[in-house]
Parts: sequence; structure tokens; C-alpha cells
Amino acid sequence: MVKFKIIWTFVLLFSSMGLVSCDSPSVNPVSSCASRVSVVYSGPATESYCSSTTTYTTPVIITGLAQYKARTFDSSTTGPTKGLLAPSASRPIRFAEVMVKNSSGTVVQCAETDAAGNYSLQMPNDGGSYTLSVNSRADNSNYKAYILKCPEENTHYSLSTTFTSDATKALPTIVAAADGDILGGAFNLLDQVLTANDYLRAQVTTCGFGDCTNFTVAPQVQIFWEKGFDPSVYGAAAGSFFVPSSNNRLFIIGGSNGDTDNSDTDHFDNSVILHEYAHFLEHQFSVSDSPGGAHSLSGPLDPRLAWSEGFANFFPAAVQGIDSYVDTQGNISGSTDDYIRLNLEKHTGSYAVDFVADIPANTNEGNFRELSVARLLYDAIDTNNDSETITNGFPEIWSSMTASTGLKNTNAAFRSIGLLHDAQTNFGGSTDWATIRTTEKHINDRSEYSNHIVPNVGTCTGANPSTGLFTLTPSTTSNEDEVSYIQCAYSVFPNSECFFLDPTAPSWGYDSHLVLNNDFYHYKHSGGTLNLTLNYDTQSGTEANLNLFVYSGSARFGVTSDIENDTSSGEGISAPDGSIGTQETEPFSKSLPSGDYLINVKVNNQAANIGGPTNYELLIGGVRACPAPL
Amino acid sequence: MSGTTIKKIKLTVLFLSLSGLLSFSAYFNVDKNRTPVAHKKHKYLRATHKISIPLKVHITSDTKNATPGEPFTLTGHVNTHKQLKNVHISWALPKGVELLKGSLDYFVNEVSKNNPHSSELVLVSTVEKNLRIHFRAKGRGHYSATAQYNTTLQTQINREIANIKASHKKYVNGHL
Repeated sequence: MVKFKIIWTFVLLFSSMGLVSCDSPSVNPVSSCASRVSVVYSGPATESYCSSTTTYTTPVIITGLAQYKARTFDSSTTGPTKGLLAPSASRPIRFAEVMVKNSSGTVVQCAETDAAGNYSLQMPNDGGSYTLSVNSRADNSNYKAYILKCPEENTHYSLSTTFTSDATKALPTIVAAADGDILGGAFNLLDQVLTANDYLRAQVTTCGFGDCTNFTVAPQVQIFWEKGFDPSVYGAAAGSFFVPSSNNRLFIIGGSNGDTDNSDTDHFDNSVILHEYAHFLEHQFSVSDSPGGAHSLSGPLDPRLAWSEGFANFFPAAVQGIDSYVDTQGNISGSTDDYIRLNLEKHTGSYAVDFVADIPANTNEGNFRELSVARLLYDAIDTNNDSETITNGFPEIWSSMTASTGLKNTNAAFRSIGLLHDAQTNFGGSTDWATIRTTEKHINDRSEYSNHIVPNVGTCTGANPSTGLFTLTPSTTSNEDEVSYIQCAYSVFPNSECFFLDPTAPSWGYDSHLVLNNDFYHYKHSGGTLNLTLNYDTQSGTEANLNLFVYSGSARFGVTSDIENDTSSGEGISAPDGSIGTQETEPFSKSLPSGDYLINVKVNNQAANIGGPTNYELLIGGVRACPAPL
Repeated sequence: MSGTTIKKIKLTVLFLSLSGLLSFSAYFNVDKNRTPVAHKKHKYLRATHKISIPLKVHITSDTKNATPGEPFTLTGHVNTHKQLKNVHISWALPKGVELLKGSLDYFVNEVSKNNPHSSELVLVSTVEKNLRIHFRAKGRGHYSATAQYNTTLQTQINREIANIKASHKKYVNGHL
């Protein structure tokens, strides 16, 4: 009886967990991978890369050509855009792995295609039957990339043909198609990695500024893609994304539940492929503090995210030599359209007409907007002199990202484009970016975000010179109309959540504007109790309500659970007495490990009248804090 | 203590240890990292994503599986936080699905946060096999979103996706 109960308990338990299904068909409509576990799953080892060339006595020579087809986006400038067009003419599969196996499945020869997609290899003149495969992998001095189906299987794609090894011969050209099995998608992904590496070699083989990193070839990247599969089903905010941990994996959307003709796909959207590859490069050659998450051009962002995404939006345009970011869905064989199309050259206009979005409205706001970052970087490299004459600026961008005075500064934290501006400005012989910074409302330092402070070093540079105080002028401006998108923009998976960029906001629409109503300081804490005091005083009009928040370096800005304050007891968020001319105080005290902390002074903008200009000082351990070099 | 009582206790312990496995392990995983001077453990998997658009669509249905010959209703929902003018609404029906009522292609003057849009179709499937129906909204000229409905496999698809999400969440929480 007890055994029966145990068995029945198991049945009930597993049924409730969805693990037992009596009517499950054998074919999974979501993915053909046997079991999808996780984007960071450690699956079986990949098949060894075929790199050993075998020499045969009295050989025959087998030659051939490997190509792939892709779809290109409609670049017509008149009429409605149409998304992805018909498959292109064949393109060479460049510098990819070539593997020959005998009828027993043993590898008997290895080679790589050349720049034109040609291969040539020795085989024994034995009359045997062999299978030649051009694989979706490359591991050579040109590029290193594996295009794989899923982490749970780690299998690559192959374009194969069979032949009899009985004479020197040229095999028929093999072509990976852009429809049907869409093998062309896998090889297009592979080719984009090569294109990016070629661009970097052309630009920064010698980067030229400071102790920047010269580029030769990027480390191996793994890109997971399956026809008809949408990786967002893992719980991600979008179907194409990059996961820095676990071998720096890219996931690219291949459709939805088997469909590729009407759904979002990115295997031919080179802007998206190169966007995510740019994140990979950023993590390999620079340092990123971006918390990641979704982003939808809907207002000022956490500058760490704005910088990382801005660079990733810019990079595809630079590599492709186009001034646009184009993401399509479907294709002309079904129904197709642009998912989004963005112009990176124009600084004004509307989205509907000009594809322009995310335009900064306030001074220094460009540092907080991802497309503003992208446009500024694009202006630094393009040859279109629209009120600026800066060209060929990529080496300065790359140098700022890879030099120890830039984003690789080991003393830095909360890295944003302010740090890049700082480095670029101070490189000897660098170009003057003043015009493009003005156009996009950028400030060329970190004074708006993660301004490094230390206790009392004499005159407080950056504060009012006569009083040594900082000033915030409260604004009723919120972070724009789409506040819930901004807040959800920081959703991360698997613990997706939407939250307030302003943790004191009672509902959407009360976001305290990140530039106008917030100051951000970087403090390097040596460990132990961190005692902070925010003293503030509104001189005239209605008294403002300033709050004080503390975040660690790994925290997500705005996430209540990530804030170091004990907000449940009101720490950092107490209300003022309403009387002007009297000093208000927000104390913070907590034992914290050594490390980098973000101190956020925020105007609480929920009141009908949010107050006038307010002076404040920050005390660290009772001593006034002032900006200081890193 | 009688043998029956011991067996009941063992059974209870077994059930609790199985049914509460995930939540208990997650709790202890978090708790063991708490020390008086430790950072809060920010348990999330960092990932960058491609640009999203301020327009969301999804499809609801009045049936779990479409039976050939029996009409069913699909409703496409459009949500946005922008004020979108002249929004293009379209449905893509495969061969084997016939339209009984509704419009497959039209424009809506405005869709906004307080004025979402719904598009209802009455359809009938004429075949046994699964067919994919797509709903699309295109706003402000150059961005659009698409949702998909499967006539016979949607329930299974929803279950498979839920399983993948749960699997990933469990795996990540166990490895962060």
C-alpha cells in the first residue's frame, strides 16, 4: 500500500510539474534539438576541428567551390520598405573548415576554403567513396567562429557532397540555400564574423593611441542558431542576444516554431548579427559594466547600458559601410517587413519619415542614450561632412576602448561613454570631437555619471567654487512617455522583472529624469562601515526632496532589491520638513565589502511642486566628498 | 512509534523533499551567501539583447485546438506606449484556413497606451494538420511586430516553451 502511495505521489508530482504527458507527439514543434536546457548549458564537446592535412602517395587532387545564398534587405529609398528580399546570387564560403570522411565516418583529410570559396585537397587514389563537408566553422588567422545548433548538442552545420576518389577532379559547386533548410543562414552568420575581423584588421592592426590593443584576430566565438527556433523561449527579452558568461555565446533568432517566412529571423539581418558580435568584441578587448537587458530607444538609459548598446548599434554600420541599422522579419516568400530601421547619419527628424529616434533633448543627455552614442561614433568615422569634418575615427574609438587610460582603466567602474570621451580627448594627437559632441549633446567626461569622489581634497572641483556645494535644479520632466518600457528595459532573464528607474516612484510616469534630476558619483570603498551623509538646502521657493541611494558595482540601477539602503526603514528616502533655508539630511550607514559603489543623489519628483534649485554636499565619514581623478 | 507512523513520516519527508526541492534549494543557495559584510548577491544572468520596439502584439483564441470544419475565433492584440498613428494591421492565413468573418488587412487611425487595438477573425480550418497563422501590426512607418498562432499545436507549443523556461531558470539558478 505504501509503495502504491509513493508511486501515486510521483505520478501526481511529475504530472503537476508538466514532466509527464500522455499525448506528447514525438516531434517538438518548438525546436528539433532533443532537449533545450539552458543558454549556459555545458553540452558535449564539439567535434575536433579538422586541421591536420594528410599527405598521400600518388594522390589525386579534389577541387571544388563552396557557396551560400543569403537574403538582403530592401534598401530602396522610395515607397514602403519591404524587409527581406529574394535570395541573393551565390557568395563564397570563405576560409571555412573542409572535412573529408570515408564511408566509416573516419576523417581522412582536412582543408579550408580560400577567399573565393575554393578548396583543393589530396586524396588517395583508391576508388573509395567519400563525403566532403564544408562546415560552419573557422579556426584560422582570418577568424575563429563556430556556428552551432544548440548548446545541448553542440553540432555544427555542414554543406556536403559525396565523391569517388579515383581521379583528379573538380567536384560540382555546392551551394547552401537561403530557403528550404536555410543552410545559407548558418554560413551567412559565419561570414559576418569574418567581415567584422577584416574590418578590424583594416582599421586597427596598428591602433595608434596610448597602450591600445592592436587587432589581429578575435578569439573564437560560438553562435547558436537553428532554423525556425526563437531563443527568447529561454526567457530572454528578445530572440537575439549575447551571454558574456559561459564562453561568450551569441544566440540568433532563426524563426518561430519552425516558421521562417512570416516570423522574426535574424540570420540574414547583418545589423543584428554584428550588433551582438560587437558585444562579444567589447567583452574580449575592452571592459563592459553594462547590466544588459532589453532596450527600446524609449528614453535616457543607465549610461553603462547606453554605451554598450550604442557601440553595438554603431559597429554594424561601420563594418558594412552603411548609415543604417536594419532588422527585418519574415521574408518576401511569406510576408515581410522591417522590425526596425534606424538612420545613424541624421541628427534630427522623425522616425516615421527619417528613421531617426532617441534624440537627446537636454544638455549632456546624449551620454544616456544608446542611439545618440551610435550616431556620435558613426559621425567620427563617416566621410559625410555634415557640420563636421571628422573621418577615420575608428582607431581613436578602439584605442579608447582598449587602452588603460580608457575603458580598460582598472580603477574605473560604472563605465560609460564618458570614460571613452575622457580618454579620446586626452590622447596625444587625437581629433577634436567638439562638434560632434555638441551635435549629440554629449559631455566629454564623467561629470554627469560615475564622477569619482574622495573625502576632502581641498577645493571641490565640479562643485560651486564659492560654497563647495553641488546643485540640483529639480525638473518635472520624466524619462519620457514610455516609462514602463524604460523600466522593463532592464528586465533580465531568467528572473525577468520590470522595475522603476526611480525606486521611490509609486507608479509609471513618475520617473525622475536621469540627467536633470540625478547626480551619480563613484566611490571606491576600502571596506567596513560606509557612512554617508547627504545634506541639502533649498534656498527659495518650495523645498525639494532629495534622496540618497547606494549601489554596488554589480547592481542593476533602479532595482529595489539591488539597492544597499535599508529602504524599508526609510534610509535615504525620508521626507523633508517643507521649510526652506533649513538643512535636510539623508544618512546612510552600512558595513560593506571593499569595492566600487555608485552614490546616487536623486530628486524625488512626485510632489506637485518639486522644489527649487537645491545645494547639497555629500559627506563620507563626516568629511565632504569632492571629485578627484581616478 | 508504530511502523505505520514511521512509514507516514518517511512518506511525508519524501514528498516534501521532492515537491519543495526547487524552492528550498533556491532559498538555501541565496541564504548561504549572506554574511554581515557581503554584497547582496545580484543573481541574474547578464545578457545583451538586440533593440526592441515599443510595440507588442499577441494572439488569443477561443479554442485550444482548431477542429477541421468547426469555426474558431482569433483575436490579435496590439499594445504600445507610444501614440501611433495610421497603424497597419494584417493577418497572414495559410492555405487550409478560411476566413468567415473579419478583416485581414486594414489601417487603424491611432493606437496608444490608453487606446490599445484588437483585431478579431472568425476562421475555419479545412485540414487536420497544424497550420501557422500570423498577425502583424506596423506602426510609425518602419517598425512592426508579429505574433503566431498554431491551429493544432498551440497548446503543445505553450507547454514546451514553459518547460524550456523552467529548465533554463532552474539551471541558471543552480550555476550562478
